[in-house]
Amino acid sequence: MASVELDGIGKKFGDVVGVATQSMTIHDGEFMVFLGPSGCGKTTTMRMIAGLLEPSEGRVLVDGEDVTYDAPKDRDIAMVFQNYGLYPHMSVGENIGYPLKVRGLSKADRKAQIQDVAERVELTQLLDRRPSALSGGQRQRVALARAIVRRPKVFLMDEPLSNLDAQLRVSMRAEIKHLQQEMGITTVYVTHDQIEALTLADRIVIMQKGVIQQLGTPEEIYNTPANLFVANFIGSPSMNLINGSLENGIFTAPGGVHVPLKDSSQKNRANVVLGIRPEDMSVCDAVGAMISGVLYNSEMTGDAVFATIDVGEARVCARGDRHLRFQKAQKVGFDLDLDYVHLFDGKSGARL
Amino acid sequence: MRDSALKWGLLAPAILISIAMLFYPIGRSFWYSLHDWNLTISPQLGPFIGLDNYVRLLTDDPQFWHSVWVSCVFSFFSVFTTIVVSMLMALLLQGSRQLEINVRSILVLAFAMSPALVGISWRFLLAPEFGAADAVIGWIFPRWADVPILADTSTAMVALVLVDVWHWAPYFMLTFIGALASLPQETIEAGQIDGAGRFRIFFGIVLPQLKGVLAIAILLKTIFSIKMLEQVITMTSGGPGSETSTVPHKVYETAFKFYDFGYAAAMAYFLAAAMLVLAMIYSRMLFGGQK
Amino acid sequence: MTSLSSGVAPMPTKAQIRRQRNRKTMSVLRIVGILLITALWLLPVLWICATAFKSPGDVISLDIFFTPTLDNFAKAVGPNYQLGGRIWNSIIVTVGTLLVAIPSSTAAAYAFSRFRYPGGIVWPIGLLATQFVPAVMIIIPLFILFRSIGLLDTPIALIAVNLSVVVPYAIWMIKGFMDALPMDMEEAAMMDGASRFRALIDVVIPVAMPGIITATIFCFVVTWNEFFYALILTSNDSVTLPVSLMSARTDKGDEWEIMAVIGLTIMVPMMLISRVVQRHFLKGLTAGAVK
Repeated sequence: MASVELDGIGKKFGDVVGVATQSMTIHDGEFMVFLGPSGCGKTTTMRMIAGLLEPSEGRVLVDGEDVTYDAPKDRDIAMVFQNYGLYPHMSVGENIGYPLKVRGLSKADRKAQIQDVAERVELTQLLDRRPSALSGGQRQRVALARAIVRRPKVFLMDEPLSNLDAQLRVSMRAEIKHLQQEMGITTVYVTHDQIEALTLADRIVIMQKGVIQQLGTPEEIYNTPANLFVANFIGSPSMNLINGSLENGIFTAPGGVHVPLKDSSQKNRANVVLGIRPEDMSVCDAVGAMISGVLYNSEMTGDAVFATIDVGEARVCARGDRHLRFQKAQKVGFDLDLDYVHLFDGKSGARL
Repeated sequence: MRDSALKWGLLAPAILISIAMLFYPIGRSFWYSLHDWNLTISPQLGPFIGLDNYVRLLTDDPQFWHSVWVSCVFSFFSVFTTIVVSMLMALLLQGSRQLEINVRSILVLAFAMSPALVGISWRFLLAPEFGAADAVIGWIFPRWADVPILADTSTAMVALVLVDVWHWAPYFMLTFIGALASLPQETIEAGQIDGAGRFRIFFGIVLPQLKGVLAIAILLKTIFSIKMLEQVITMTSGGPGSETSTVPHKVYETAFKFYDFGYAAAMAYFLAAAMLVLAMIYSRMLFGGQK
Repeated sequence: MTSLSSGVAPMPTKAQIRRQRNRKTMSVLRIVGILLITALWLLPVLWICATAFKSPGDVISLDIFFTPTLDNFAKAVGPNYQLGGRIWNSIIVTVGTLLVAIPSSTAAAYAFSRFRYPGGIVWPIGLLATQFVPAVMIIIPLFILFRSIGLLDTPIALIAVNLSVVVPYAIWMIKGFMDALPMDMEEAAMMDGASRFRALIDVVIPVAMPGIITATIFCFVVTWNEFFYALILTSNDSVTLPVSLMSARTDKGDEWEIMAVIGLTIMVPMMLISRVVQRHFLKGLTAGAVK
């Protein structure tokens, strides 16, 4: 168990910035998720913690100790790889026992610990098989078992669930969370899947183009996105974003959008983006609604109906009751829950 | 870097081997080529004569130019025939039934035969009067029944080329079978659905997709053909006269029959330079358009 | 083909008949082609093998039937031909070459595959390019070198020269295989607490074993069959099997039955591994293509 501190760490590949200089602290026992689209620098950052990649600048500290230039083997950090990285020429048991073997444990000691971990991840029946004879979910378990068998200081997981089918992903997600809480091991988890991030994380780091966009709890990230990128990236369907202007506490946009803000102290601005999540709107009569327009499409998802309307240049989607039905080209109005209206600067994208 | 010791340590044995056994002799040969050195005259390196060996080679050695011509003829026909024959064989034997697998195993044997053994075996088989192949040829083509194949100016080169094809075709056949197997099956099926016949499919769909493999095969075979030496030594000894004395054979004789090391080194360098130029033209032609 | 409505088999159309006939012709042509190929490649080898068991009188008659004899083998192991000693020399040279070549090539292949060196890809390409250099160019300085340090006619000289042929190819073959291996596995090993070197030994080499075996077989075939360097560098004590073929050409004429015995001895290991050669060759090739 340990804390991990990144102190002004950055990575350049030639002239290309992989990760811009950044600092953060991952607390002891915390589940930290790095979230972002591919190529955002999340994996690069993780590999620098692992020691598989040398940072161009800055330091990596584990428990206050500088490990920046230590080999991976000297850091006592375990890692689960996206493609599992199992050893195809070893049995499941040998795979799990490899970290112990490298550390010079006797065969008997290894066997006991392998057995113990195998029970924990329900692999006892499969210890003699080769990885090639296992299903994707089972392989994932072997990779997990191999990582936890030596009780490392820090646990790194690089998109561990991305190769599994949807159903298995949900159950493995729960399993990982359960294991992590039970063992209390500091964990860094890389993913591009926002649901995984929101469900697993104690805190989330959202990155884009090598720069941290926001660091916070899942609630903070979801309810108070720090900028347009985070607002757009988190949530499904994603947040509606409408370009307009702000005058005397009222937001207006082309197409007759007219939203009186709760917080009337906001300064007048010409270039503002209003953000509102589909579930924070209600479908109402077109006449007198804050937003109204012609129906573009409606989708029944089972528990709800999502209605999309064209408003000026924008396309706005709202979540409505599952019994709602619409006609083609019908005029529809949306009312906004003013508690959850987000405002962003149109130029910088920063939250206002 | 942490792994620096490992990074260079792993490379060290291979570097030592290539410096001692490749780069040293290649450099040293060039140095020899600038000297007038005959081992029968002096065991020590002879006097430095600059580029005289090269001048003599280029301006005053018709025998050498004859061997260049022999090499060109041999290389052209052996490359062309080998590629065509091995492609036909690949098409015939690309299946994976027991029959094809067994036949391929037999063919591989020819490729895995020592080139010296290939040469000497065919010398035996083509020997007049008791050569088995000679008898068969005489029976099929009575016109050649009385011709001593390896001793006749008109047939020795043909024999040398065909034996070379015999030796190399199985290797390139395996290459082509591998390439054929990795072709996306859909392209052929699409062709069949579009109503193309066998030959249409081969020339219109299969062959264009094999362009890369074909290019490499032609380049490799050209180099092998130019370098080919063992079969000349064991089969014809360059004869009759010097009708099958290729450039490598000429260099070999100059160096190890007449011990004229300086001049032989110059010839070898000329050959290497020609191969380099050829390889460059080839790769420009074959790969240039694909960038 | 059943038609529920009529219950009568429909008459085949003209096009169908033609297609069927075409298919029949094609398959007959196929079989004829395969038989022809098999005969062309198998019969010469069989003839040589048979010659090894013929008395000198049978050798020069073209009869297919003869009384087999083992006299030739007795004669070959005798003092004139020393077949036993030649076999031993060939084994020493081959095993010695493989023992040095495979570990050093594997190490270098890993290094080239995983580390970046100043100059980058130039080094492995340059190494391979040396193989385009004519063999005669390399052997002249090495002949002088080995002569001056007294290594002529020793297995050490042959092993050293063979390394220069085999190592560049082996590095490329194994490197190609290692390039295709995902980095995951060795990174996992490093995270599991192994040093980079330990990860190489424990994980990379076992997983790359098919590639290493392919390279080993290739090197074995080349070294076992190598003729030209051995012809130059050996004269008596260290003569290998392919060179000893030349000793069947005596002043009293060619002793073909002895040549056949030696040839058979050279071929035996190739016959044993020809299927393995085919499998590994194809596997290595398709692995490269699929990637």
